[in-house]
Amino acid sequence: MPYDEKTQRVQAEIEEKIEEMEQPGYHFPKRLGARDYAAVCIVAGICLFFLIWGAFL
Amino acid sequence: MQREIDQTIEKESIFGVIPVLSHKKLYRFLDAFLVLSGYCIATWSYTQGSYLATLVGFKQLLIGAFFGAILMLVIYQLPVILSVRYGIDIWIWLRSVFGQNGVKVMTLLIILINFPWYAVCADLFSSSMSNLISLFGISLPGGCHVLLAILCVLIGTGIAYRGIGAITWSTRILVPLLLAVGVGVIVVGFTSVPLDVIWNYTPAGSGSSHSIVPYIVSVEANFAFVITLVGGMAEVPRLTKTERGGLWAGVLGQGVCGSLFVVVGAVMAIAMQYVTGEMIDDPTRMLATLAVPALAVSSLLLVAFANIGTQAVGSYIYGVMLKSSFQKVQYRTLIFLLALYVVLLCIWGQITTYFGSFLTISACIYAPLAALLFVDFFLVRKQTISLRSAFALPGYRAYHYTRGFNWVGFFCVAAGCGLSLMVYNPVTGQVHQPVLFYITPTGFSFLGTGALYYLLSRVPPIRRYLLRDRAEVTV
Repeated sequence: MPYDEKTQRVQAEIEEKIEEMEQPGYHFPKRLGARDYAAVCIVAGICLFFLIWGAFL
Repeated sequence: MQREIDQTIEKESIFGVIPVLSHKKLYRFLDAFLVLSGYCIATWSYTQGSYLATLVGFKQLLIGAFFGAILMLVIYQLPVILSVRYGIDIWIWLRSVFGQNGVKVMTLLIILINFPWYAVCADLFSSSMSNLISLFGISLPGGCHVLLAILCVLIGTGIAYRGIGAITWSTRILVPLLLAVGVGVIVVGFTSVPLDVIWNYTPAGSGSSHSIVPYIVSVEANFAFVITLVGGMAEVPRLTKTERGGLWAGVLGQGVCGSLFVVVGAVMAIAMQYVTGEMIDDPTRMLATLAVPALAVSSLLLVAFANIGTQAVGSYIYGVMLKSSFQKVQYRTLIFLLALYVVLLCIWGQITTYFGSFLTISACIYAPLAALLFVDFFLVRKQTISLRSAFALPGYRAYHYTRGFNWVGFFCVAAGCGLSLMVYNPVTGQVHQPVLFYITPTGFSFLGTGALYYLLSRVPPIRRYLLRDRAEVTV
């Protein structure tokens, strides 16, 4: 398949996927919630604590 | 047959960029965790572990390897949720940061600084083959080391040349091989020395009169080691069913399993020093020295094949990545060029000597890249993007910027490099800014680049330059 035809086919498929995502009924993957961001902060905090503590070993 | 391979590669590199919709996602958390864990356990982990063992004692090494890795991962990998949500790679999003043509330049730069890892693998292959041959009483001349390293590159490239089928088989063999090598090294390492020798280990000399410097250098090495994963961090999350699964699979897979093998490498080096008086970073020499001959032979073979497999997978992944940016160039040409680059590094032969410098120099680019993605996703574009402009669909040019380059993004990358080098010289090991050194050159570069980009995005003319996509955002 010539390069330009491939490009057009790819662009058509991408447009199709984007349109599907724009539909009101499209379900995006479950998002991170407040608890997830809190878990990230807690994990980061614990790691930082141990890294600082390690400097005094 | 060759035409079929070319078509499959083309399909993957061109059609592989198409967004993956929710109902096509493949991985739950555990699947993604296992895949990402396997990705991290290449034999270069042993080089990292033995390098850390030259800097700090075992307790500090454990802390730096696990907590340093997880801290860096949990922060810089947060933007993988964009890949889960929209089914796209981060390199599609990065077109908003660097421009349509600019992202191609960044792709090339990333490959240039990432591919030395494969020279490390080739070096380990060469060592394993030399040690294997020496078990039979044959001593190879010095020049053979380079030739064996080149052989690894050629065989690995040859496998990559065969395309996705050969790579899939390589990966199915490679991950169990690497796990088997890891188990072998753990068993031999912990049975060769008393446990308290490892636990109470401290390095002979750190080369610095200030005791905290080696510890910070080790934390920097851990930060730099994991941030090299940024380029490929979204490939698996793109196929993961939930944002939570995509994020934690990477953080835990790479932060826990990857770090475990780094620690295994350190144990190996400590065991070798205890037994032979020499700090060795080569798992093949360790296995040849400490293991019974039958175990040594099989282990050496495992290491040899594991390095070939890693070479093959690396050639394939980066060949496909280059193909998606340079679609008119033949895949075979691209992997040949990649092989040539690694061969030149093997001939130079100093990559393991300058391992620590190489880590920090590569992090000079990775840290700003990760920071720009983080700030752009969460703060500048607030988690929304014009997908049509990102894919350069006809009529959508929001990320065209100035002839395809977003100079704000490139300015920030350059500034981020400067921030890192301002703090610490990775070649000479000289600390320029002791206070800033405490948060490590990579940490400072990440924070500084992110802050700079955010502040620039608040300047009205720059904000208008960056955010010309807002009217096109639909998801």
